[in-house]
This record gives sequence, C-alpha cells and structure tokens, in this order.
Amino acid sequence: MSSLRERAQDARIIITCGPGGIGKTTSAAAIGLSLATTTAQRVLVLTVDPARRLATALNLEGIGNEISSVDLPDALGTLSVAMLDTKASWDALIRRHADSEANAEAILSNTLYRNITERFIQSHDYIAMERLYELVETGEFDVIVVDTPPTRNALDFLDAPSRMADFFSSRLLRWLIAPARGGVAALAAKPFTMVADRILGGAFIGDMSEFFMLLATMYEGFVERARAVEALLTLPTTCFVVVSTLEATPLTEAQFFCEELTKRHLQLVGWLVNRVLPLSLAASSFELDERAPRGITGTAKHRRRGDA
Amino acid sequence: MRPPLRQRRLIFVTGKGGVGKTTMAAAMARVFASEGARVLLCSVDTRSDLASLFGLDELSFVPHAVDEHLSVMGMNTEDALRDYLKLNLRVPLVSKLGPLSAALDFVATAAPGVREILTIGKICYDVREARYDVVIVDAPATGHVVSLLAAPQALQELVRVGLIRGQTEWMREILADPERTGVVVVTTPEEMPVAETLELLVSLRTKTDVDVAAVILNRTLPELFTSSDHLALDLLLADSSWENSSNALIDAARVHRQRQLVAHEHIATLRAGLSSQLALVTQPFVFSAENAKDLVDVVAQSLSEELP
Amino acid sequence: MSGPLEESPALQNIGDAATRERISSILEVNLEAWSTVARRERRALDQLATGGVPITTVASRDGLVNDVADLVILGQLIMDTPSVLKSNDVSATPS
Repeated sequence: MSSLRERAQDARIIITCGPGGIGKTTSAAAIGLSLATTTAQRVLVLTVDPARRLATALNLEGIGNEISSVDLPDALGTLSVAMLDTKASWDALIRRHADSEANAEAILSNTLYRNITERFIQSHDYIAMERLYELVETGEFDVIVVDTPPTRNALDFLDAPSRMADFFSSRLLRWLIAPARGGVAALAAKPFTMVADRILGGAFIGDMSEFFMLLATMYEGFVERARAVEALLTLPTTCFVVVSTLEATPLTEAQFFCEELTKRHLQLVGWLVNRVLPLSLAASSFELDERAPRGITGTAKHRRRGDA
Repeated sequence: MRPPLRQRRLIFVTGKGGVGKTTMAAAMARVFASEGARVLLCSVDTRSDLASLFGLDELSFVPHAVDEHLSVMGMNTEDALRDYLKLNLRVPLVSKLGPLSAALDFVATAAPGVREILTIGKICYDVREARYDVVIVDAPATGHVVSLLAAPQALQELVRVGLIRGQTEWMREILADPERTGVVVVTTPEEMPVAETLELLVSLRTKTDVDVAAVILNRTLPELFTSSDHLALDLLLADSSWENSSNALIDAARVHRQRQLVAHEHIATLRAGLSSQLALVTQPFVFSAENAKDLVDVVAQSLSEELP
Repeated sequence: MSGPLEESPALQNIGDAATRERISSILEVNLEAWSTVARRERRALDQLATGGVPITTVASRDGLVNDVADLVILGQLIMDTPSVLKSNDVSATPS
C-alpha cells in the first residue's frame, strides 16, 4: 500500500484543502517540514488563510508577505514559510500590469480599489493563486505546500483565475467602463447604468467607471496571467490532498470538494483523515493483537477476548 | 447589564468553521419555537447543511414552514434584489432587465459590498416587518461575518448619495440596538476556535454596531474524575506496560485525559479574554448522536436549560 | 472490566480498593462513550473507502503539536503511513 510520500514524490505543488477546523494548516506545515527534513529540497509552505494560523504552528510572529525561513538544524533541505498579505499582493499586481506609473497610482488611490482589496474577502481567492504563481516563477523553491481557506471558499480559489480572465474578457467590463467612455458602448449599457444609478447614486458610478477603465488598461497582462495561473493548477506535478476528520459535517463538505476536484481532472493524491480515534475503541469487544500496528493500516489482526 | 439573549429579535450565530455553528443555530431555533415564539431560521448559504437538518433538499428564499412555529429559508441575493427593486424602484424598466443575475453581477462587481447589503437588508426587513418574533441567522464563519454585519457602514462610506445610502440608515438602527439584535459566537475548547473567537469579539466591537449577546462553548468534555482521581489515573496511564499491549480502557482513558487537558488550557484562555459581562454558555460534547438531525435534538434539549 | 487492567501492577499500586473500584468503573463508562464515537468513525471510514481514493489516517494528535519537533513527527506520520484503499482494509471487524 503506497504512502502519501510515494504518491506525491513528483509534486512541485501540494495543495491541502478541505473544511475548516480539521487541522488543515497544521497538516500543510507538517508536510512541508517532513519534506524539508528528509529530502534535499527547498520547500516553501504558503498559507492563504485570513487568520494567521501558520505563524502559531511554527512559532513565527508577524510574518507578512515576506518569506521567512525556518531554522532546521539536521534537515537535508530547507524550509521557508509565507503568509498571504492580500493588499500587498494586489498592490504588487497592479504595479506589475499597469501600463504607466500614473495609471498604477490612480488605481491604488481609488476608493473602490481600497475597498475591494481591504474589506472584501473574495479578492483573496484570486490573489492567492496569483501569489502561488509568482512564487513558482521565482524558481527558488522545489516544492510549495499550499494551505487553502475552508472548502466552499477553496472552490472559489480553484475557479478564481478563470473567473478573473472571464471578467476581463466580458461585456460586463465594457458596460462597467461605458459611462466614462461614452459612445455606442455607453448606449448599450444604459439600462444597467440607469438601475445602478438609481440604486447607488451617480457619483459612485463615476468612481466605479473610472476604476474599471483603469483596470481595463491592464487587460492583456491580467488575462494572460490568469490563464497561466489556471494552467498551473492542472499540471500533473500539482497535487491535491483533501483533509478532513471523520465527523459527519466536515466529512460531507470534504467529499463534496473531492468530487469537484475529480470533475476538474485535478491530481487528487489522497485523503488525509486527521484525529482518528484508536482502533481499539471501535473494536472494544475485541482485543488487538499485541503485534498489530496501532494505526489502521489494513493489517491489524483481531481476536476475541478470551481466545488468548 | 446586557439584555438577555432570549429577549432579542435578531440573532446572528457565527463561529469558526467546524465548531457546530449550524447545529447550534438550528437547536436555538428549535428552543425558541418550542417556547411558542414564531421563529425564522435563515441561512446565508442556500447549500447549507440546514436543509438536510430539516429534511429538505435545498433551502428556498421563500420561508418554508417546518412546523407551526418554525420556518427556514436560504438567502439568495438575486431574489433579495428582486424584492428590493419591487419595493423601492417601481420603474417599468425593471421588468425589461431580463434575468436579474446579470444586473446583480454588474452592481455586485462594481461595489463588492452589494451582496452583503442585500443579505443584511433582507434580514433587517424581516425584523422590521415583525412577521416573526425572532429571526435567527446561520451567519458566515468568523472570517466573513464582519463584512456582512459591517456592510451598511461600508456602503455608506462608498456611496455618498442614492437609494441604497438612504436604506442603510434604518438597517444600522436595527443592527445597533442591543435590545433587538445580538451576535452569538460558537466556539470549542480548541486553540484556533478560541483564538478566532477572541479576535472576532474585537473586530465586532471596532468594525460593527452589533452587540455580542453570548459566547457558546461547545463540545466540552464531561468531568469524570475528581482531582485526586486524576493523580491515580495519570499514574495508571503512565505505566509502561501499556506500551506493548493495547487495552481499550486505557486507550479511551488516554484519549479523554489528553483532550481534557488541552481543552482546559483553551477554556482558560477563553475565559481570560472574555468580558465578565458577556454570557458564556457551556454545551457538552455529544457522544451518542447517530446523525446530524439527532444532534440538533440533543443540543436543543441541553440548550433550553442554559440559554440566558 | 477487562483482564489486563485488573492485573496491572500500576492499578494495584494506586490508592485503596475503593478508589481502584471507582476508577475502574469510570473507565468503563468512559470507554463506552468513546467507543460510540469510534464506531461511528469506523463506519464513516468504511464508507469513505468505497470512493477509491487512497486514505491516510492519522491518530488523534490533539495538543501534541506544540513546536517544530512535533510537526516533524506529525509530518512523518502523514507522509509515510501506508494508505488504505479498500473498505476491507479499514474494517474493524475480525478477519
């Protein structure tokens, strides 16, 4: 029976996903540590969760978007950890794709932009994948272990790159920028802007339109990048591990996620089931053979009490 | 002194993923309904596990009466928008818009808080109309609930004029009234749930108008032994003869003791971080529930005795 | 109560007969409670195994992961524990 190590031995990216509260972050950190100590690889653990959990597990305080290294005296490889700082990553992304310094600054100072990156969590999903891509591109790491937000968000996280690309290619974006541009597009978008105008007010529509017009200048860079990020997830060297416990609620969520990964033809290398109670408890009317392994490895032999 | 939970009309139940938030919301709804209140239980996620708890395939936007006193619904922002437009716009234009999801996508993409405001607006509307005595919301998890509860402020900052701007005032009035509205944070005696609970309490205080009504400490293990018994038990567990053989009694004792020790530490952290005026409701770990429905019944039973 | 516990010198060394008796009976109750949970887990695992995806199980580690050294041990368990594929492999019934 193979182990996770064998099935993930060619992995360059290992993504742990599953519901919240089942030890996902700890598992990702543990996998990273195991690889760094036992193989001569440069390993990075990236956590994309809004809460700063990895820091707690690794006793690292205040790690931001910076990559910090973990001191492992007897390790064959090296271990680095990185948190995802949404705002810093968005800022970097805008600076990279903007066609001019002035446009970059205009976007960065737009009210909407600040709200999108600071207040609303959905933008986390895209930027997490973007950051992963960036880290892969540096070539500084042989393996990157990625911890994801809880299941339903993690799905968004898988879809985020293609949604971002779709958004930039869509009529929606043309409508969004229509009031600032005028012309035929503005006419086509009229019913939408009229409703939005009634609901949100004209000044807001102006802000919004300006924001998306600036964003549109980055169209090509963004789409290309989003497609590249998407391609990264489907590589055979990108492996997914679904993490859960055996409690009914998280397990149902995890199974749903498992189906989604399969549907998307992503590399699902296995389930990791945490916090399993000792086998002896389930078989309490039987006694375990003394030589049987304590885990559930499929080879445990049982005998009835009194047979001894 | 804070108004007791039982007197409030709008209760948001939140907590870190996996702590039993949905079960607790359902059990609380059961308790209030059994006491004769007309209860609306609303999930912000239509794919919520709430549906299966009440034997439904899916939650509908139109409340479904489970019994004489209890109705359940699932929030759907497109339907909420339709409601909103019907009530507020009264323009013929609306009917020509076709599927509202396009318009909603448009507005929501422009102002990312729009989905949140539609959700919170619909909930507050139900409270204002008083067709129910209590509205219990199975709210988003700790990382996301603040953006929902702070949506009216966020939108007020973003939108200076317009219809929505005017709408946010009365919502804030309901949300900010501790006689009517309160948040219940569910947690478990584990490291991350406790840490996130304490962080959430700070965010709720600084970023929203909503009062915290209670913290529910879920899944606390029974105290089986007196402190002098613990000494004896620890001696027994420390006996090296158990290492070579498996004994279910010892394994179970070890599981219990280990989980209890860890829990004690986190309960101490939680208590130290909570204001003395905040109600801390303790709920036991349920060993025997065979499925999620059973669990709700068991929890409702014990919750009815403990709710402030 | 089961034989090995009664025979344990550790139990014989503690307290008086009444304490031993009390501890033993509480341990029985405790085992019954956790067995209920464990058997439910086992059924869930059997069901999960029908999906055909290899499963790595890791024993309860609550409170045991405090530092990097603990994480290394956990990492080894996660990576090197042989996975199970068929529900037979994880069945708790005697073979």
